[in-house]
Amino acid sequence: MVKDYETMVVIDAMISDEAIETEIASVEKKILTHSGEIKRCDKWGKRKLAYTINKQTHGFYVIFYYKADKGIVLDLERGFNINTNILRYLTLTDYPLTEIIYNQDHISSSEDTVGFDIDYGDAD
Amino acid sequence: MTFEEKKNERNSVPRKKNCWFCENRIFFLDYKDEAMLRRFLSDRGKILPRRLSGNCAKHQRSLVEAIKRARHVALLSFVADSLR
Repeated sequence: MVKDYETMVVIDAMISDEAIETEIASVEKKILTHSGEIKRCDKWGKRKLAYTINKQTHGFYVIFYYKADKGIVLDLERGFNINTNILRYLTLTDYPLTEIIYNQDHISSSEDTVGFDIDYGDAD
Repeated sequence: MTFEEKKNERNSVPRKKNCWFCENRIFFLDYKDEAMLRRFLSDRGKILPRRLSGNCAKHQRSLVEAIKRARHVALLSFVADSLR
């Protein structure tokens, strides 16, 4: 039963670019072996993490939108767990494919914050 | 301040805020849209409660789910002591 999947992977940015490319290629190869089909692959590139993970402050964000049968998720995540270069991964299913590609320049452009008239003072 | 003013001040109904998502016809909240999610976080990085953000229950639930996913993937921080 083929399903739509979206997997976001945060790769350690300290490793060399070739190593990052091999990581991405290995994920794509794994998807293809599961008779999968990659719809889109967004590379956000190197970004500052909101908090440090394994003492790393920067991560390379890659998002795969693909269609595969259900054995893919277990296989992918087993590979992610073993691999020390992968800091975080998040796999979602039946998640709509957004046309907007969010990355660094998009974030700074849409900063129109709604005027909240609340002064949400924190007691603690 | 006379007693009447104090009484009125106590049970004065706050201005009814309507749901920002219903207004703008947004029904799919993406965890990758960091700019939109950050708007519903306090300056300490905590999720704004419904009574302050004015969201309806349906949107608040999907908002909370999106924020928690964004936090997991280090797009948003759990505690924003040094605001990025």
